[in-house]
Amino acid sequence: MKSFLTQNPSLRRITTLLALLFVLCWLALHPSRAEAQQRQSISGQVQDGQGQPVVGASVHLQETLQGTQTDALGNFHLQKLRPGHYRLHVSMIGFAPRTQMVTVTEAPVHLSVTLQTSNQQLQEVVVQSHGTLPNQQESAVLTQTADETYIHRNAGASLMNTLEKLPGVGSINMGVGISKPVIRGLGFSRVLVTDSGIKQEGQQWGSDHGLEIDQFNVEQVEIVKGSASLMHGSDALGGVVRISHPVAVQEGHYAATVRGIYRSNNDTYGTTVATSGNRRGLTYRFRATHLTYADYKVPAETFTYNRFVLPIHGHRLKNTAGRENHFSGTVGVNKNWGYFHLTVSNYNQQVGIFSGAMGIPRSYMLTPDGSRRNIDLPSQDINHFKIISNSNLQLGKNWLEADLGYQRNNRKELSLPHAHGAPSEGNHHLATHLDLQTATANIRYFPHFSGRLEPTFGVQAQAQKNTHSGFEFLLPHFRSHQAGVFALGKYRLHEKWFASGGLRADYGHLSAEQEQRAFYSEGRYVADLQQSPNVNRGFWGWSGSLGMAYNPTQRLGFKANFGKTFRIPAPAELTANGMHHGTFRYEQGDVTLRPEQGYQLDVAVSFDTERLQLSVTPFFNLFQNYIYLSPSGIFPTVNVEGTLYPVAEAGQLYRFRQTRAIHTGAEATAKYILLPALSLGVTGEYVWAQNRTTQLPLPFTPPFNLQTDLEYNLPPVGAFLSDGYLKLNYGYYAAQHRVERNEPATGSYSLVNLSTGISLGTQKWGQLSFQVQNLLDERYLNHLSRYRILNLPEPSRNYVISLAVQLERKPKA
Amino acid sequence: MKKLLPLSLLFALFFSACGDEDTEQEKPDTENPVISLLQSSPNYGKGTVCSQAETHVFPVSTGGKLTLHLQLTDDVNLSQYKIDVHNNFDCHGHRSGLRRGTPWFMVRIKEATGKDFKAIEELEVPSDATPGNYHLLLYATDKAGTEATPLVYSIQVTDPTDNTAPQMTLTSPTAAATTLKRGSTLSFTGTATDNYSLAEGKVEISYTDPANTPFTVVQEFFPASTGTQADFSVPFTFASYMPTGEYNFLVEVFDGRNNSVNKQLKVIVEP
Repeated sequence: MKSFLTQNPSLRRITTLLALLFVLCWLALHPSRAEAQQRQSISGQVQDGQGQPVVGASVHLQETLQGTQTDALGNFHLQKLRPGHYRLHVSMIGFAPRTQMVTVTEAPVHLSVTLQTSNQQLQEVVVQSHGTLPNQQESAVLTQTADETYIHRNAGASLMNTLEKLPGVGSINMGVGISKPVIRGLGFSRVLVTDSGIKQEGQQWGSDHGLEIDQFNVEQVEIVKGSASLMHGSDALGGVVRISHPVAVQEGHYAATVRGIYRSNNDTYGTTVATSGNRRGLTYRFRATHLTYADYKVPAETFTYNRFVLPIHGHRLKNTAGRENHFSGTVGVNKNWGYFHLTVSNYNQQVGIFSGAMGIPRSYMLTPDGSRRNIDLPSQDINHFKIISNSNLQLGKNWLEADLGYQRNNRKELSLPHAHGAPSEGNHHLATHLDLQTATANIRYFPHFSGRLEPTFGVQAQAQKNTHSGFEFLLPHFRSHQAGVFALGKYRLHEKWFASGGLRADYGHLSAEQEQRAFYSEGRYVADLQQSPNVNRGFWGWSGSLGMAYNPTQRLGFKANFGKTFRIPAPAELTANGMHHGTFRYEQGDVTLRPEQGYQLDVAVSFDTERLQLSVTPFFNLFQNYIYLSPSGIFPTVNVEGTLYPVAEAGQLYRFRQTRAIHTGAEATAKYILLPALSLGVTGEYVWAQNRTTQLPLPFTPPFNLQTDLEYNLPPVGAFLSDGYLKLNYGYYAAQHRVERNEPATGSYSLVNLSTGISLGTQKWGQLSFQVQNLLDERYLNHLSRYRILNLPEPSRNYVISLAVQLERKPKA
Repeated sequence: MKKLLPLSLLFALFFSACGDEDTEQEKPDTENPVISLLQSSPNYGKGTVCSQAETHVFPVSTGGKLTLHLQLTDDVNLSQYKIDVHNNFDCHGHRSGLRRGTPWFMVRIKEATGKDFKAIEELEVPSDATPGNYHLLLYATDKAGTEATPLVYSIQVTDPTDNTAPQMTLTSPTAAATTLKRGSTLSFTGTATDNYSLAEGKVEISYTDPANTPFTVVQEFFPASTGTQADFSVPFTFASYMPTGEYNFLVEVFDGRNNSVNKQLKVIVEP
């Protein structure tokens, strides 16, 4: 361990930071005697709109994560508090959650909190250990949350598959195990994912690189649509997927869950085991997940590519099986000085890639190999390790939040050497190994000014190191550093008007040394050539936003937000130089690229009544220096001492270029409660994007789609069966003819999904659920699938069964 | 609402500013160019490549020549075409890890102009080229960067100085039909002999199951030090999940110059 630490500077840095934080905590835990003054309390009563007490509401302080429940009279009592400013959060199923600023001074505080009923907030609100819970009504930024229940009822093969039916959310898939987020048609390096407040750093720039998150470990996801550069800096142009994990805020609360899942289409067997609790402010959460799946089935016996009609033996796509093992553990303390949580997690996925996906597929590559569960070449072996700490410490009367993280993404792509004519390096199959280490720090400070203004000041820093090996070249060894400072705030102009905005400045630096590789032509060694250039570049960027939320009545809401954003070019865009297998494209980076700039406008209008909810969310974005791959019309060659040598097996040369781009569209949703237990929801989304230089659409623009959901909540059967639901989803996906040059158009299709489930036991110890995905066994192509270019159909009908057993011990009232 | 008005006016002004921008062309050229093979010498025909039937296979000899008469068309302006020949010895899916002999390898990039362009390309097969299966790919682009659908062919290179097939003697199984139980292992054992050399030749075993689904089992290469005789032994286990019934096996031996001999065997699997 010691030698590992000394060899690893960024890990050492993180360890030092963590150690420092421990010392801080220890100091906070053992305050000097002068400071150990008397402790104060907050007590109060929670009522509904009619003045009736609300029993069992969850009450906690966001700063310390200490909480309690209201008693039979709606009363709560939080004691042993230090003087300071707090945000008191009250939530209860069936009511809109409420956050209130409370200042504790010398005397005990007594307050009365009124909760408004809400039919939108039927699910439990979870408490997270980082960032603030946005108040939807007061925020100018459009966010959408999916909780554990939503994730469980709609569970797809991966997290982004599960979330893609949310309006404006999509995913770029490769098969069933690999998916990455798309928000309003923007993806890759233009959408950012955070886990416990820390930006996930894998290899998000590539279409065959999935998001390294265990979906069973996701209890709450918040999706920010539109720019979120202010909080997150570069890469948040399209939006953010914020993954958070609940904290047991009530002392004496313990839970343990076992869930088993089976998916018929690819014979998935999955188990996930979790436990969490809070013993006198000492909290913990542990989870382990194991999944194994076979080659997946498609509703087709053949597919056509080039002029070949190719077989799909047994309706199964050869070599798409996989295995996954994930672990996550958190320990923390919630005390009156704040909290400190430490999470260690590891994601591991081994998954095969369809045997015909590298190069032109031929029938002899597709003959079965005798096993549906083996992982043959080509394949991916992904390991993502993270250490994250989330803490909040009192500084005077105010609070300082800190999220620190270290992560290491090991991405191995295994395949046969494809550069024919070049000798393979031994007999190994390691095409690419990218080892990316990232250290991140986010610090936020919340000074208290007045009841009207809620400011946040923050700094964010990230250091990154990438190394590579393998016989293919994708990315050079590089180091990057980024740092940003920001100030943002929310101001209550009036009871109905809220303004929010902020400014941020960022600096990023990327350095990579020139790399050379041997060039072979016609079977002989010609010369050492530069594979990637020397890079030593700094990038300045600024972001700003100004927004308004206006709620003229409880039912009507308007939001408008205008933001200036930027994105630092990704290392691949600056340095790429080589074949991207599968697409045959020879991609060439441009080391002189400037940062992308975005001017983004988001608007939201919502109207809610007891029975009807409507919302329309248009957006308009203008990007400058938008980075795209431009076909050159020529085939790649290399120049060796005046002689031009063609590059073998490469298709056309594509160069990274910059242009102006327009990106606009809207989502619209309507939900109507037909009967108290029966609701009908319709959601439509459309994106229109154009490259202003070529006047062609941007690639991977999702087609217009319309989701219709009919949901019925079953009445309880006796005392044993409750929370039953039956949901029918009909999705219509229009054809996408708005395509980039050389991108194939995709036809329209319709999908029907059915899901149902029920809770078992008077204490709801069990949850049984059943889903049928692609009920009509539709054969269709997904415009956002990596296998689309092979004309490979998407998975056929899939039955999903899941059973969860949960044991829970609640604190005594 | 009033306060939103000046804001929206500002945006309207902002958006209208992007209207009058210079663009590359009035209407983007998105029509694909087309590359076609008008005639060739020799003509392509049917052939067996990696134990699968193919319809576009050119038979050529080492030291010989393949002549292609190509036509390229586009609605605006052509740019380039590319000819790519590379070996397919390992069937692009097996894992020999070996580089065998001196494979024929050729890449040629040429300019094309106008809307209708014709070219005659002569591909000379080196006299020392290793006989076997090759891929021929023909690509084309127009000036806008739109790509033609590539043409994909196989080439089978034979050696006129050695076109004698090797010989194979199987010591196991010896009968034309074998009956065995699921879970048991059958060994394909035998000896191959050749008039010239078996060095870098191979034995390939494939089968169809009772549902007539084709499977590939193994491809084993003989080492470069092999002379005119080689022994082989390839075990195959009928796993307990495999369906019972009649399996048709094909055992094929290739010499160093890609000449082959094969033997068909029936295996009846019982529960």
